[in-house]
Amino acid sequence: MNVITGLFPPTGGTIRLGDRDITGLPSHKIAARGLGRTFQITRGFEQLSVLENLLVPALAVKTSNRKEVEKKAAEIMDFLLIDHLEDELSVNLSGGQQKLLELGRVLMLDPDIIVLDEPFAGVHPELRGDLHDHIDDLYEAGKTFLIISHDMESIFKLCERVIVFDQGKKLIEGSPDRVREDEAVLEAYLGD
Amino acid sequence: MEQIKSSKFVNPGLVLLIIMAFVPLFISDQFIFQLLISALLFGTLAMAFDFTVGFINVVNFGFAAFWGAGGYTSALLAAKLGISPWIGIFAGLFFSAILGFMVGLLTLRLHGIFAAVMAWFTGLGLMSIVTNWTSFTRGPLGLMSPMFFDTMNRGPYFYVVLVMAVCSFFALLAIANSRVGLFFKAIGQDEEAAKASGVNPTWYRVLNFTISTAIAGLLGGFYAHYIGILTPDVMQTSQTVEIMALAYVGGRGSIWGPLVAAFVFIPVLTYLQPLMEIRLIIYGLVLIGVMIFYPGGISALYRNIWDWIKA
Repeated sequence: MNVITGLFPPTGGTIRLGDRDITGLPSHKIAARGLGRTFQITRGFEQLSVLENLLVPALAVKTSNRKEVEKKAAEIMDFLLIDHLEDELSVNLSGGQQKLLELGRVLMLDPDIIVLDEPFAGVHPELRGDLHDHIDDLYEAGKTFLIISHDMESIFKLCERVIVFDQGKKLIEGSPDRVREDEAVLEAYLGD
Repeated sequence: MEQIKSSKFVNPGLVLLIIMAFVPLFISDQFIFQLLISALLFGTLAMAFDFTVGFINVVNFGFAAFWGAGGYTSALLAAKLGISPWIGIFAGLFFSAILGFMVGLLTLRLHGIFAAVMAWFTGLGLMSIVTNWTSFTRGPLGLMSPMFFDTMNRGPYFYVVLVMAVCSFFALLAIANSRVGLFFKAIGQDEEAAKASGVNPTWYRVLNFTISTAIAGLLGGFYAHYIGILTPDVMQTSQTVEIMALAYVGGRGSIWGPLVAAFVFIPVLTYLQPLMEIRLIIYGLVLIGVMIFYPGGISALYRNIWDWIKA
């Protein structure tokens, strides 16, 4: 995942985004080409407000217009139900709210593909439900998601195609129903 | 610990600069002028230093070398080619900016302490060149530099450095409040998140470094034609430490804080001049004290008081 998003250089092979070769591109260029990501341990600009956090990715586009970007940020805050936190410093948000803000920053890039790294880890169950709803809505709106998670229930609820790894090796690939009944997966992740 | 986002406030740096514009109407004491010139000079240097450490989170340990490079450029142009100091100071600005750009390209791909150490070694390298190239710079013997004005009165120098301080203050503030300033802050707070947001950290870090060193170079030119003689001591790390102390005590990332800190500490330390090197110990202790007990410095203290009054 870090190789796909340009954080680590690839040692072989090619990475294509649609029909474009993005192998070896730095992560800021990959982000600008429509591949947004979140991090396993939530990252962000702690001493910037929620609004400022959202402005960074959109303003990074040279042709962007400040007023339009602020309008878009307001829409995204509204969608993620964090509009009441607009002026709050990011450092003051709860873990779940920071996950939502991180997703908001990704949405400001208007990406075609969204890569979420452990989006449900440490998130309050109520906020987890909100996150599921947001992902569903965005999927319906045409966004593609790649989700890495140990939260199998969330994966089964959200995904059409699941790949399970264990100790760096692929165990199985298929529909949630097929994966749910696989013996090796049950042993590795779901217990008895 | 919860941190509070501050409401809009009256900028003390702006108030200070406005007061300074009227000071010569009421003061004629040359010693006071000298103190105010030092405070404006070091306050502006500390603002430029803060622009790097407070925004992109890189400690430029070689900062004094860029200041000295600007000074030597202007002084050498005047001494060797007879070029007016008024043109020379801008040549100093450009030379330091180019130097900063190149050093930035070399060092700013590194992170944290590695970037700081690389900048420090670059500064030491520059000082070594100036010290040892005696046929050109006269090294420790000192390079005579023509003065700006043919007068013993410090008043005209005060206005020159005041104009430089005002221009630097507004330029830095304008950049800090622009989208470029937002990117600087984002990179300084979390570079990986900035990259994932489509921001090119290398370009913006080099840009920040270049602007900061350009201001240092301009002020170096002023210093050369204000003091009249330059020695490599001007590039010493101890100079950087004095500037760094002002930036930290003033409050990183505020721009105005270091300027205000200079007006508090320069007069105090001038009166402590007879203590010689003990001054540096005092600087060190103040720096440690602020970093442990009040890392936000004067600017955070002021904003907290302002918010408390507004609440």
